[in-house]
Amino acid sequence: MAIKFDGEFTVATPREDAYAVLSETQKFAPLLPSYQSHELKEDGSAVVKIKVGVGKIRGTAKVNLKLEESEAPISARYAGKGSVMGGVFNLVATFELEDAGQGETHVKWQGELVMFGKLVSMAGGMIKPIAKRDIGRMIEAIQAALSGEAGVVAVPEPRVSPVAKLLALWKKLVSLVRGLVRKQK
Amino acid sequence: MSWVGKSLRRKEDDRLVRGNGLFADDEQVEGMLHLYILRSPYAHARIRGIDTAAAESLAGVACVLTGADIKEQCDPYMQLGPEPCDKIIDLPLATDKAVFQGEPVAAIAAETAAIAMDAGQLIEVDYEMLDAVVDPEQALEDKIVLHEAAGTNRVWHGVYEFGDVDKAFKDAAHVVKIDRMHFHRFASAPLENNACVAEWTRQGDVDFLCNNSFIGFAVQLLAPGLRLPMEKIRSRTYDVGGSFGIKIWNYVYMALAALASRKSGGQKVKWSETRTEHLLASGHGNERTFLDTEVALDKDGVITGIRSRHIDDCGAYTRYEPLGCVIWAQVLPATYGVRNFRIDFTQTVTNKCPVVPNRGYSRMQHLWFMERVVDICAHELGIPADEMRLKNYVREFPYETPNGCVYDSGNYPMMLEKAKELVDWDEWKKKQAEARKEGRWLGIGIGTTLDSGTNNFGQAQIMNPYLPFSGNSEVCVIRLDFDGSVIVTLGTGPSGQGHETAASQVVADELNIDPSMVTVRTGFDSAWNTFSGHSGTYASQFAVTGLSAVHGACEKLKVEMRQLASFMLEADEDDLEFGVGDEGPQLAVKGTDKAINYWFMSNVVNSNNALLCGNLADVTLNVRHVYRPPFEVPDTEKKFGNLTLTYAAQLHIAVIEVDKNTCKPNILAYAAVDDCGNVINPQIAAGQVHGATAHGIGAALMETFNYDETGNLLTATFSDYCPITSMNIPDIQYGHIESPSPFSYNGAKGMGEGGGAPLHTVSAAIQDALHSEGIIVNESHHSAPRVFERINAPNRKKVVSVESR
Repeated sequence: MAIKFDGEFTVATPREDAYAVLSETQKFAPLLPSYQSHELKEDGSAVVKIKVGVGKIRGTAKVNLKLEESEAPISARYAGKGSVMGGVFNLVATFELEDAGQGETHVKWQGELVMFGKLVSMAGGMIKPIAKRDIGRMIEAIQAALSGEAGVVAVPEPRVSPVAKLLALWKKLVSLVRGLVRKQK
Repeated sequence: MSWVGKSLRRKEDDRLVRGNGLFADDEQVEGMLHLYILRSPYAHARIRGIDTAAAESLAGVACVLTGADIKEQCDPYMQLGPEPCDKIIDLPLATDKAVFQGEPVAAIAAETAAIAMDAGQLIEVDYEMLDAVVDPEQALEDKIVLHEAAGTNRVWHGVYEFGDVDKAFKDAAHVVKIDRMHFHRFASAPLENNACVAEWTRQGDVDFLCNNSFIGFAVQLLAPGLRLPMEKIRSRTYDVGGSFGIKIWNYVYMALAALASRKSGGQKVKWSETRTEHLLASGHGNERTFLDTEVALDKDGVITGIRSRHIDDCGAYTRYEPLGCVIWAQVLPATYGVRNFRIDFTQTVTNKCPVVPNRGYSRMQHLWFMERVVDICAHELGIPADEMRLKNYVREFPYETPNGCVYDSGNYPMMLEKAKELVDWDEWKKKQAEARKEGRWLGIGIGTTLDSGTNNFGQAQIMNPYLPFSGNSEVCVIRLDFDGSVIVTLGTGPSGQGHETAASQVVADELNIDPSMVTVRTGFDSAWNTFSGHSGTYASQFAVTGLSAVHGACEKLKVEMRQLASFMLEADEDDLEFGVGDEGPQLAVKGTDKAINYWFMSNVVNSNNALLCGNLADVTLNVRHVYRPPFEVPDTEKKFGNLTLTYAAQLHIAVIEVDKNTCKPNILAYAAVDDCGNVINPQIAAGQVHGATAHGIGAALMETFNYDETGNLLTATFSDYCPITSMNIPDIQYGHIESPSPFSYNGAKGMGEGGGAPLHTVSAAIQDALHSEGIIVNESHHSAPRVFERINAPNRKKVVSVESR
């Protein structure tokens, strides 16, 4: 199953600074959606751990991420190969940077995510919207990172809606009460 | 009183409905290990390396198997086909390359199923992804070759030519050309998935509790694969929750459980397949494409010749294939009297799950093709569907088909008449006319089909002349037990067909006893069931092969009983008669009160044999009979010969309205008429018809295996591969006729597969509903999205053309 994505945005950051973020694996890796940690390897690639979840299939995916091509300060191309319980995926993401004047940079991005395995077979119908959502989050994180202080990457926190927070609180409360009831029995 | 022909309640149901059945997954033994199979996520990938260190060090893991173990301990499974099939290396685990998504690449045995699964996630497989080919026509281009040693994806090719095809076309009044038709990929969804418990004992024997449905055949492949003599393998089944042919091939997985048991020091290892694994990698039905079909007809619409090119997609391995390239020829002309054929048949491998003999195996695809041919010709020539069939049906029996098969009996016009009555044909015709005035899409379709039963295995030699298979056989052992009851063991290994009941009915009639006095051993055990190389439950044959074996064993037992009674009663054998006396079933001297009951006969032979004074040494009251149908080896050059003994038939009619808003086909009325000759147990036969009808309707409207272009199966759960349930089955108006087979001792014909009748019928009804919209139904699957696509892209001009002279 292949999912292609593309888009563009403009950030109030000089092209060189934007390129510095996008072309350094150490800075780029934390921008992946649901990022947990990463480890740099000698060849410059990184093993990035991200949280994934489709329905009841949840776990940690390992992505071998590598900056495959780059041309300062014009473009950067990453390739990743990941695995998660029940599936594997290949990821390619390319960023082209144009000077938009007045210290701004116009970023055109495109990529492809190709997934294989039981994950696709079992949750194929749900994957596309989730992948699109996660790609959207990644782009938001990149925009945030590029808009921030050059060289400082803000790792985005997972978004939790107020309703979800309330729901989680309620579940904890119910669980606590149930535990007490069981103890009394 | 005759028990055969009565709806005796199934003996099996008492334990099954009470939850007392015993299935392979029910086996629980202290210390038993559980097997998890790690499968390839890719449809096509080279395996560059496997790192199992982390998995092996996980607490609770007993052993891990990889391709390296398999190479060391196994030989590739025997291939049935000639070159290039014999170059294909099929092993329990992929060794160097995975060729379909879900192919096993490693197996882990651990203390619990959860630990085994966790360990599976710790195995690092270094794959080099390769391009996959899922389209059979592209596969035949050999740009991507699955099995490099074979050098090609084309695994079989042959031309079936009978009669004078060119003359038929030269003389034709009409020639209908159909560009392309496609029979989709689906399977069966047995309630019970594949499962087994294996133990590799210290003595070097392997014991399986499994649910394989063709053990006689499986052991012949499993033993050499594991480098064992056949007698070292004991295979047992008890209750089996459906097979439909799918479980014929689960020995590939049985081998893994056995090897894991050996590697873990002889502990029992259980493997129980999940539903997703079942859908992904157990076995699918054959997918077939029909190209460049041309049909010659006379001025009255009688079909005189057919020529066509068929491509069968057997998935990644040939396994039971290329037998399907021949099996279809059992029903070459379907129910029609066409004499001239040229079918160019090719089979290819693709990066999809291998096919297995799914219910209606290979004949269903061809019967659907023939029904579409008849139906499309009828619509194109403006001949009503029922008239078209009546013009073309075979009417005289026995009927020798152009390729030498002999249809034993039948009455297709009578079946049509009966189905019309059941569905209320005339009334629906009126309603259809009214609906069409309102612009509604309402169609009425007929599907006539055959359920050919009792294979002649000699047809395998048409596919590969060097195969040592021909004929057919089944075995029964019958014993008069100490208490005068009768114990029967069969080689059949049933999977829900009610063999215990039907065999009891036959024995009860033969020996003049109540069926409750007959115990038919449940399941199969290669250690104590005698069996032949053909033994098993498949190909609609139990009523003929199984019951003929029972009948033959009863005859032999009766001979011994007469000899014994003659000695004990000092009477001539001709003066003896079977009957029931004050002390139960007996043999009595006619016209006297001298009799010996069954208990005493058994007592004399088994426990009180000094009474025999050394006489009748050969009488054991424990006899074995092997039934062999009267087959000859076909002419392999001409592809000519009798390939099957009996031909049950089914005729269905469906009334379907396609919803104009949703494009969903809705069944408004459905009739199914069956002819399986003399019926042994009407309730069981009706159950088989209902089951086959449900299966076919499910396949026609709901069930399909969809792959994406990279070979990912997109329908591997019941959310996406929607099996039919009682909620989706329409009310079926069921009827039957009986045209006794002259070729079976009891007039019965094998049945149960159903010949895919609903697939033909639903296609015909949707064709009738949508022909006016410029649509030719040239696919077998009709889910709402597919119908929507078709309605939005009328194909009639592209798919069909008619030349009239």
